[in-house]
Amino acid sequence: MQKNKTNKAIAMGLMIYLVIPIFFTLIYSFAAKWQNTLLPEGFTLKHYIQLFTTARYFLALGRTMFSAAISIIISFILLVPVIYVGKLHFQWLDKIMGKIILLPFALQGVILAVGLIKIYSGGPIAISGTVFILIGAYFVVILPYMYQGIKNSIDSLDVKTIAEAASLLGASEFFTFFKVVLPNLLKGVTVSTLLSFAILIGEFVLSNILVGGNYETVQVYMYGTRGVSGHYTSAIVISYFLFVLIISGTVLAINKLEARKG
Amino acid sequence: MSSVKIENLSKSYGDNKVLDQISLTIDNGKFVTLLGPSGCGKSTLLRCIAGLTDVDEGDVFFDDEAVTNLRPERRNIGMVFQSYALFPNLNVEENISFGLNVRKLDKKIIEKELKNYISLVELTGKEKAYPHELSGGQKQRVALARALILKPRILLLDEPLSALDAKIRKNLRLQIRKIQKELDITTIFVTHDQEEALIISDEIYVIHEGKIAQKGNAEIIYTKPVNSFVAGFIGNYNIIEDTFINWINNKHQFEGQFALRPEVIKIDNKHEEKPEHLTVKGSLRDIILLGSIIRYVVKVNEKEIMVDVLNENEKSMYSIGEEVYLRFAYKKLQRIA
Repeated sequence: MQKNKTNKAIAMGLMIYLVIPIFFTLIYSFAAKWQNTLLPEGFTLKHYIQLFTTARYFLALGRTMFSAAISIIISFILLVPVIYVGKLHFQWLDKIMGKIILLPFALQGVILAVGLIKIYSGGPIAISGTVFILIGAYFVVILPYMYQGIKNSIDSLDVKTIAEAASLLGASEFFTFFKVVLPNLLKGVTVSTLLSFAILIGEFVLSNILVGGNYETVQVYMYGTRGVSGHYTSAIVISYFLFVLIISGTVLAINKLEARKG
Repeated sequence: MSSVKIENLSKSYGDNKVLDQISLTIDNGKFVTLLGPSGCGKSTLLRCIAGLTDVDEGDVFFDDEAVTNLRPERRNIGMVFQSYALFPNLNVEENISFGLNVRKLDKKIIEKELKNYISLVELTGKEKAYPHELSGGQKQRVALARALILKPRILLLDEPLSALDAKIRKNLRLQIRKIQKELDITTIFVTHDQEEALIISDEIYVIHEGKIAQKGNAEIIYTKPVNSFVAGFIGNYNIIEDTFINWINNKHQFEGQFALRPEVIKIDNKHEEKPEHLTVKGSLRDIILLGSIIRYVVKVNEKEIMVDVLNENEKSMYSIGEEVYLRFAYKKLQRIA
């Protein structure tokens, strides 16, 4: 009992610690003026009205979502077959991959960005400043999370025996992959997908240096408005936060529903 | 249904020779068990028959057709794995009809077959359940139906009962045997459990270090082990060597090694002369209660001999440390290599 109470207290403390900044950002975004007083001197919706009538904000939001989603989808499409085939036929590959996927941790944003610009501003693949370089960089950033998620999912499925069972039932590897392996993976990788999504949505360094104003993401847009009004920036943060919350909530809810089914 | 013939099959992993020149023939409709300790090669042999493992040397025939180089999906084999290997995203019906759907059969035929096989493995009412909602025994019955519905030439069972509790295991092995007889399907069963093998099989191959140590029906394997490995693996044979022999009524000369089953030895607190019997004196070291059987461990000339006695009384008639006489008919001594 005592232990349970302590756990609860710790959890509550953490919750408060995490929620406080968002809570005050929320209040700040509704405040008309809040400078020398303990509480705001009145509330207003004008920052939100201003935000929701700004097309540039929605375009930036769309670009962020698009680049993040495309990176995750490409990552999934490329990694799943590689890990699956590796698990079935080339077990030694896992050791090498395990080391390679740690590289993005060593090469942080700024280092990666400068290097990428150097390579891709000329030569046969001149994609510097376009969405392509951003997606490419994002792919690298989320590689460790996606790889681990997919690998754990495949490991927990015992794919080798399942693939053998399916082949004895007359199914081709292709058929087994689409009918059995893939549907099971989709459920298993939700967490790593959401994690990757969250990382990309909060990512600023790469998008600012690699594409900047050429492909303005929410992060870059927000950075640009920091001088305009703190209240306005807060409104961006809050609406952006709610937007992400709704997306993650929906994905988790769908996942839970699916889990109950099978 | 098919007969199976294996000729000089060998398989190595690196320097480790897992199968060494194995040859065997299994007749149509027989239930054959490959029995041996883990690592003896029995599962590898089964996987070679299924085509899941390539062979280095030798051939596999179904009837008289060589299938050695045929891919597993073309061999028309049913296989059940220890880990069930059900498809977690498909329900019982979808799992069982998987193979029929691969073959793109008519919906009506699939439905009819499904009904038959679901009732054969007694899963009626569970059609829509997903694997994670089933018990181990139910999962294994789904796996069995999934294999049988394709009317395979041969059914391979790779330790299908090892992951189950004792009670379910006993029920399911009887059920497997019943279904096998009903469908008259050639079946190869792999296990490390000698009791399971003795109960279920028409014929048993005891495998040891990649070779067949002995083949025969349950009675032969149990009563006439050919070497000390089989004797040690089947039952709890006492291995008696010539040097040990120090009989009270020494009328017979022996040479070599002998196996002696614990249940053929009589234990007594006095010496009694009986024709054709041998008696030896020892001291009681331990008494182990095995339910219906009491096992006495008796030390004779520095060697421990096990004696099994039916547990008729609530209390043991002897106490530890006591001097006892062991007596048995000498024709019960089984000479081994």
